[in-house]
Amino acid sequence: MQEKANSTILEVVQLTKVFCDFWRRPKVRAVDGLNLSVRRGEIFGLLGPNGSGKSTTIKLLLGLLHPTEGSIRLMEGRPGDVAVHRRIGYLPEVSHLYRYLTPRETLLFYGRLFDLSARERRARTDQLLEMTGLTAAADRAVGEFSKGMARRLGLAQALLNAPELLILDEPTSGLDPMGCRQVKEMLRALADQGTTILLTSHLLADVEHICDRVVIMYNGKPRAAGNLRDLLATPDRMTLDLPVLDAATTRRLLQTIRETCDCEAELSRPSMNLEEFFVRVVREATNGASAAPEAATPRMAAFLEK
Amino acid sequence: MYNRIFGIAGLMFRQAVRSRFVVSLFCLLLTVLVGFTLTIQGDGTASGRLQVLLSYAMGAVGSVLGMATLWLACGSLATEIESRRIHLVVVKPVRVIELWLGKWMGILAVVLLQLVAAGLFMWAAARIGEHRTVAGTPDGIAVREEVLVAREWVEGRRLGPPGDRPVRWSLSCPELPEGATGMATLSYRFLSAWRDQPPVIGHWMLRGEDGRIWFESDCTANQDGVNRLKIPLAQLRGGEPVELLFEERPNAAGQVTGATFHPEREVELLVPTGGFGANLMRALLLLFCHVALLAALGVTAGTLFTFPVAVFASLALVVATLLAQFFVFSTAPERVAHEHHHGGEEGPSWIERVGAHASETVRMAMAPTLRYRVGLRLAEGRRIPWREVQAAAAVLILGYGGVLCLAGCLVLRRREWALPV
Repeated sequence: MQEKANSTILEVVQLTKVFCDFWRRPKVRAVDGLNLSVRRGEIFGLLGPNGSGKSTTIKLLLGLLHPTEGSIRLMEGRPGDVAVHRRIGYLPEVSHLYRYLTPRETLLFYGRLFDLSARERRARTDQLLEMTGLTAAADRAVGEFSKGMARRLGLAQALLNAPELLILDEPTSGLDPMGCRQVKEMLRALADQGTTILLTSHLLADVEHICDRVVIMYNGKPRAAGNLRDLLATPDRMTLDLPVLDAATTRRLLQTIRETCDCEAELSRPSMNLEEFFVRVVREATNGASAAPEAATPRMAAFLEK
Repeated sequence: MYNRIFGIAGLMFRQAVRSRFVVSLFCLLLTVLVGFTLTIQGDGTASGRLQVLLSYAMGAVGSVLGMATLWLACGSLATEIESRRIHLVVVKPVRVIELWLGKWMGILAVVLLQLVAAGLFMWAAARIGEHRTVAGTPDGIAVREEVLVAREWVEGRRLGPPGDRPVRWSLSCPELPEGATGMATLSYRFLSAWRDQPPVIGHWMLRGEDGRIWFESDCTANQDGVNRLKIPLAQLRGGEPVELLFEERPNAAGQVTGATFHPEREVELLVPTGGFGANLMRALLLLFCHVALLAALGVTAGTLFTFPVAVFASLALVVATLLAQFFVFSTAPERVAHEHHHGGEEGPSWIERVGAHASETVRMAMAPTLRYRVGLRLAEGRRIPWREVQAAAAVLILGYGGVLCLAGCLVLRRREWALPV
């Protein structure tokens, strides 16, 4: 079991993708010699600015593009294998949904593609609609949806088959801060239950909150990779966390530190980030659980137990 | 597998309904059919009007439905690839053949719905036409016995040398339904260059292999147009060979016209073996097979090209198939070779030779797709046999449709879905 938990679910070796023009002349080298290894149960982030090759890499992993060079080993199979697709969930950068369908019909349709029984399809559809907060809009046409609602539905369809590997391209794009928080909570809960998550984002705060490991790409090439905690650590600095002290005590303490250590010491008051503040305000305003991000976690747990 | 195919087919059908394609097509067909019903006059008789209405309606339904189906089919995959909605489908455990078949079957469901509606309208129009005529009057009899009926027919094979008198034909009497009553029709026509020729007076006789006479009758026939002689079914023996004889007799003035029979379809024996409803259904099924082939062509074209290009390419292929049948007369290789041999000093250029071979190849390759046409058979009350419907399904759907399906799947397998189109 432990061995399985530490095993590699995705292995990419020297992956290269060159886009050619009509006459097959090389035009753009979108991914250039990427090496990647994702372990089971971790949340792995592909980071980089726009045009760095993140989405192309994901499309290569899913078989939507064919690599020019290199190899991809995905759950003991190759990208594009039907058996592999059975165990994958995918949320594209833009939720390409059928605008004539309602969310319920959309999920029932994708459920059929996974060969789920009618009863199972209906049950999972109801759970996922509730989990993504779309129950009230379950019978409205997707064409009428805002970008955020379409994003939630996109996420719901990605979770329909309770995937082993969840591939998310910019999962929080288009979502409001509450939605972002909710998605991040969900992803953390999924990872805790053993789902491997590979996500791309250029919203670094999102990645920092949830990713275990990352690779940073630029111009199609990996520029840095590793454990997020190691990458972000500043080994020559440390923080002392204290309750608020009066001015005289604070001055004495700083003086003592400077004399003892013979080094520079700074004093600052920590502040919550804007997202935390926003969530707190909205939670107080709603005064209920329905909009609170924490509400997603029990629903997620219920979904995963099924 | 079936779950996925029917899921994709259901989605295709639902999209066609919600994009108002189905209701628009239904309105168009209804307008055409109602327009025909209200405006067609025919030759002034109820049977003539009904014949024209049925032949026009079948042609119009086939054309409108064929074009609409091709358009829908070309867009089915092409627009999904262009809009990238296909990405969420192909990353699910779906095989390309399931995707192709699902799209195709969804389109067929739309076609079937429209054909059923059109068929019901045509059936109702025919029955209303029947009820407006009085049974027993010549027009009423013609409507019931020559239009709203399914008749087996056999052509007579001329016996003896030209000029032999009496003129003789051999034919095999079609199988008769058990306890059949009513009348068979002997249809014949003469070769006449002028109108208002004097009528031909003669004597018809049908006799069995054993020489026993089954039926005989005198007749007075026009030299232009089709003549019909009614024969009671009770006097025929189904499935047996029969000899047919005609002898012209002098008219009141003691003259014989010496009229000769038309070289095409000199004589035909038409025997009622079924009703109009079943014949209409078979005619619509033949039409369905053709439209199913067009749907397959459109779906496969959509795997290769963007939507407008797919429509253009499919239409070009359909037009080339139809025109190749005509081009071949002027550019057939043997004709080109013949002209080279016997013609002027200059032989055919290599372009002419290539063109001749190309058009001949297209004609040969596509000829079977044009074999199973309804034509005027429904309007003339001629039976469209079930075996023809089966053959059409085998050739058009399984044969040509299968080839197109394989080609489409091959393209889809090699396709990079996320490449910009």
